[in-house]
Order: sequence, then structure tokens, then C-alpha cells
Amino acid sequence: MIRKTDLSGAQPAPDMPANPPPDPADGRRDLGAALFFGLWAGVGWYAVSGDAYLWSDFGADPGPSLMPAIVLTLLTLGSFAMLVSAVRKLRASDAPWSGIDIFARLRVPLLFIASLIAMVPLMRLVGFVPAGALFAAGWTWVLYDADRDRGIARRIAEVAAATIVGVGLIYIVFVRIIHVPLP
Amino acid sequence: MFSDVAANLLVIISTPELIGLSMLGVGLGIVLGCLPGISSTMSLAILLPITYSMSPEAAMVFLIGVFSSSVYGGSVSAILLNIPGTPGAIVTQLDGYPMARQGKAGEALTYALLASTFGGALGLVLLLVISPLLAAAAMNFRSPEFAAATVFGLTMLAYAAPGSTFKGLMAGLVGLICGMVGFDTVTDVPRFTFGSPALDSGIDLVPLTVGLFGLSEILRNIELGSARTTAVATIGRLMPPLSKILPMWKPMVRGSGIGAVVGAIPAAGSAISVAVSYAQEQRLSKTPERFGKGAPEGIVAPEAANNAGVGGSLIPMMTLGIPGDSMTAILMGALLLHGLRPGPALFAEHPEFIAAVYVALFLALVFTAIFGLAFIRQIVRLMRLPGNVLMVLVALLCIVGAFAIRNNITDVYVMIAFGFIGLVMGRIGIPIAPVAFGLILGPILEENMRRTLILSGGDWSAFVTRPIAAALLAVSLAAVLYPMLSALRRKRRAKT
Repeated sequence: MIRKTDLSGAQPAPDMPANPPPDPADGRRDLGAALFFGLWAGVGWYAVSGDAYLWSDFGADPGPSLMPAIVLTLLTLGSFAMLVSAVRKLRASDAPWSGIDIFARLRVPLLFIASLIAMVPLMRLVGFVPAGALFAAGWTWVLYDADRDRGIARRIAEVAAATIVGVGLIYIVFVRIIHVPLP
Repeated sequence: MFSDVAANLLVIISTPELIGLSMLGVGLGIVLGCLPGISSTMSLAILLPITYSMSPEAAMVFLIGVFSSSVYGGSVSAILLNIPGTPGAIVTQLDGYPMARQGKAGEALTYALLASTFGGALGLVLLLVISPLLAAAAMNFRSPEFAAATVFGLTMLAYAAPGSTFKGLMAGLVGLICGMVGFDTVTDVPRFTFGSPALDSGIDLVPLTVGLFGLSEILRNIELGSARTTAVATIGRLMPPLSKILPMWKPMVRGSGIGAVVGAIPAAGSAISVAVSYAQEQRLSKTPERFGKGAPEGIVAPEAANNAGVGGSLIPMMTLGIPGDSMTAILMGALLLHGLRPGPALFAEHPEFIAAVYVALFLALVFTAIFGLAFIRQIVRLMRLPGNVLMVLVALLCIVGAFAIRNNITDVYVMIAFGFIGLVMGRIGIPIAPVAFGLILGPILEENMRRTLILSGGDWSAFVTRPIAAALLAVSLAAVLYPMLSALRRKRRAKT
């Protein structure tokens, strides 16, 4: 069903409900946000509640637990309020879970992150230049714009040039000029 | 103050390294600002680690060069590609891109450059005149006022963040938690470290900002499949006839005035000032139907407003220690990185540094104008750089930049984690900038709140018995409650 939203303030068309149900995507986003903030609050409470010394008496100083307690309380209440609002929105919509795909278009970004994580130990093992070159060449190849593909030889040349110039420039600026001890 | 500025101007222009740094910052700022997929905030975040080994003055000369010129760079991509490089350039594309499609891209770029330079100069004058006065007034601030000003800044920044204000506030709370990781500065008690020594020294600003503003933006570009090369319009003739330039002085002055004033309001942001100045020009025009079809006034007024806001946005950051937007938050982070805390005390203790900031902004304006006129054709050629190459190189820069700050591998993992967190936040509609604001302002808030409570013997009324602190807290509360109350009112109206 295609739902129309009238933003002009005019009367709805006869075939449209007076108060159309809310967009389920809004509710799902709010639910995600509530869970996101709830997770931070949960992890935060876990970290501070297990530390008895944090809650000791520090005399005139309200102590290191004051600010965490205030912030985590606000975060907990806020995420709870957001959760209630999200559930209400989802219940009011016709098909709250239809067409949902949390991992839609996420496969490549997740692979990119995984390769970044893998690059760090590799960098320590073989050094920045080979690890960086491998990463740069691999991803420049994967993300190559198919629309401008002008043959495999040209593609290899472009990837190689980008890798050599890019990694070389970073190495010169950070290692030679500002003396960062890259692995 | 003016003698300090003049003395610093002489020192800086007689120091080839500083002049070189300013030129390098401006060059990088224009290039990065005009590359699609790279925002001004991202440019500042990925270049911040380079300044670590510099003196505070040199770091500011470089970063202000990047900051100021990337605003102009953002308008280049708005005009040539219809993609605004900064939020402030969002209006420039309305008339800039139609002009480019009419074969007048060069003229549109020159209008934008002239307006940027004029607006930037007016913003600098405002910064020179207002900030010493505001800093002098803020010298009377004590810990309750600083705590209240920090709450006010955090609230306003969350309020102005794109999307839901409530989510912005909650994101600010997440930033506050990040700012508490590590040893407590007063009692040396570790917090949120989970027993890991790697977290004892806390979460550094650089890995967090590089992850949130740099890596997450790359991930989003990859997600949206926008790591592509875009067709760039041809430039054509650069200089419009003088008879067309001269009548632009009125939109330029009006736009600059609006931009400078709005920019000086904490968190008001450039998007508001450009929208107001564009609407104003359209309203005053005798031929408003030309707007949106390539009217030069539609470029000149918002560009002047956008750049006038650069000086304006530095006012709350320098005088009160409240960043005006995400870019000034990174500049503030750079100052903290170099052991300088922005605020009234900085004016009293380091007037020479404040003067260096003014001179840095002045040089950035001059070099942006020169580079914009002399090298725009070469700069535009760089915009044809394949998107995939750009994304991969920026990712490598993120890795190296996060490592460079403390030569610590943990910072690289922290940066990657915040890159992922930024991606998730974007997908569920949570603004990312308040996290950085929380990290920067959190320690300042906690320190002043605890000092107030120690001095008042634990009496919380100390925050509301002082008029300035009470007023700032009242405005913050109103900013939190207003969206909720108006949403309730809308619901009630819809029911009746």
C-alpha cells in the first residue's frame, strides 16, 4: 500500500485516512536509538557499580561517582522514554517490521572495518608500508568505479599508481617530516 | 590588544615557516573542502594529528588556514557538482549550480570567492572587537558560571544538531561518559576502564573525532556507493564584468552582517545564517523569480554570511570555552592538546597567542583569495580524483593520524570503534557531533561542578543563587523542554 502524506494543510483526499499511521521506519530508528543509548547506560552502570572505591566518602569533594551517577541516570531515563515512544510508534503503524533489513548495504562497510582491524597487527608484523600498500591496493581495486572501467591494464596501472603515491606521501609526511614512529 | 595583533602580524610574516604553514593549511583546506565526500570537519579531524609536534601558534596558523579555506572549498563543490562541501554551502548550490550549467562556473566561483573574502574580513573585525569585551566580562565568571556555561553550550549544541534534539542531548551524554574514561583528575580513581591499563589515560579527542567524523563518513560513502568519480562542470571565464561585480556590494554587506551576528551565537551554525541571508536577498530583489536559476546575489549573500560566521564562531570558543560548532570543537580540542584552555583566562595569560589566532585568520583570508584566483583551475582538476582512491587514502590517514598522537596502537582500535559507532548512529538517526562536544566539555563541567559543591559545602543552590549561572541554566532548561512541549501541543491539536 502506498501511503501519501499531505504537507500542505489541505483536507485529506476521500480515500486517505484523516490521521495516517506513523512511518514504521521512524519507530524502528527510535527503537534502535533507545537500544543504543540503553546499551551505553547498561555498560556504564556495570562499570561503576562494581567499583566500591568509587562510591567511598571523599570528604568535602562529592567524589568521582557524582558525575557518572548523574549522567547514567539521565541516559537510563532517556533511553527508557525513547523505548516507550518507539514501541508506541511501532504499535500504531500497520506493518512495523515489513521490509526490514538491518544489514542492508552494510556488508562492504563491515568488511572495510574488518580489514582495518586486521591491518593493525599486520602493520606491527611487517611494517606500515607493506601493510598500508596491501590495504590500499586491495580496497582501491574493490571500490573501483565500474562506470569508468577502461580495461584491466588501465585499472591495474591506476591502482598501482594510487597505492604508491598515497602510501608514499603518508610515509614521507608522517615518518620523515613529523617523525611519527610508525611500526 | 591591537598592538599585540600588529606585533604578531610582523612576527608571523617574518617567519617563513609560519607563512608556509598558513599557505599549506589554506591549500589543503580548499582542496579537501571541494572534494566530494570530505567535509570541513573531516578535513580538520584528519589533519589535527599533524599539528601535534608543532608549537600552539604554528598549530593554530595551520588549522585556522584549513578551517577558513575549507569553507570556500565547500562552495566550489556546491557550484561545480551540486554537492555542498559544508552545511553552509547548502544554499550556494541553489544558484551556483545553475550558473555552472549555463557555462558560467568560473564567474560563479569568483562571486563566491569575493563574497567569502569580504565576509571573512567582516567576521574577523567582529572577532577583534567583540571577543576582548566578552572575555573581560567573563573574567567575573567563577566555577558556578563556568559549569552553567558548559551545560548551556552542551544543550545549545545538541539543540542545533541535525535531527531530533532529544537524540542530540542523549548523544551529548554519551560524549560525557567518554570524557570520564580513565583516571579522575581530582582523586586519581580510575573510571570506566574495566581494569584495562590501555584505558587508564582516557579516550583522546583525536581518535574519537577522527573515527566519528573521518572513518564513519568514509564508511557511509561506501555504504551509499558514492565512492565514484563525478563529472565536473567546465570552468569557463573566471572574471565577471566589473559592471556586474560592483552592484554586489549590497548583498555582500547584508550577508556578512547576518553571518557575523548569527555565527557569534553559540551553536547557531552557518546553515541558519546562509538560509536567512538567501531569503533576505530574495525578498529584497526586484526580480525574485531569477533566484534558483543562476542569480549571482543568490551566491554572494550566503557565501558572505558563511565566511563571516567563521570569525563569529570563534568568539564563544575563545572567550567562554564553548565551541560554536563541530569545526570549532576540533579547534578547541587542538588547543587543549597543546595545553591551552580557551576561555577568559587565555586572554589574560596569553594575549600573544590570541593575537596569533587573529593574524592566522587574516592570513587565511588573504591566501584563500590568492589561491582561489590563481589556482582554481588546477584545484578543480584534483576534483576528478577517483572517489575510491580518495576513500582508501583517507582511511589510511585516519589510521596513521590516530596512532600519531600518542604512538599508541590502542588509539587506532579506539578510532576504528568510533568509526563503526558513527556509522551505526547515522543509520538510527543520532547526530554524531554532540559526542565530541560531550568529550571536550565533560571534564570542564565536572571540574567546575565539583569545585562549586566543595566551596559551597555541598549546597546545590550555589548554581541558582548567582544570576548569570541561573540565567544560563534556565535557558538550557527551556531549550530542553521547548521541543517536548511543542510536540505535545502538536499532538493535542491533531487530536482536536
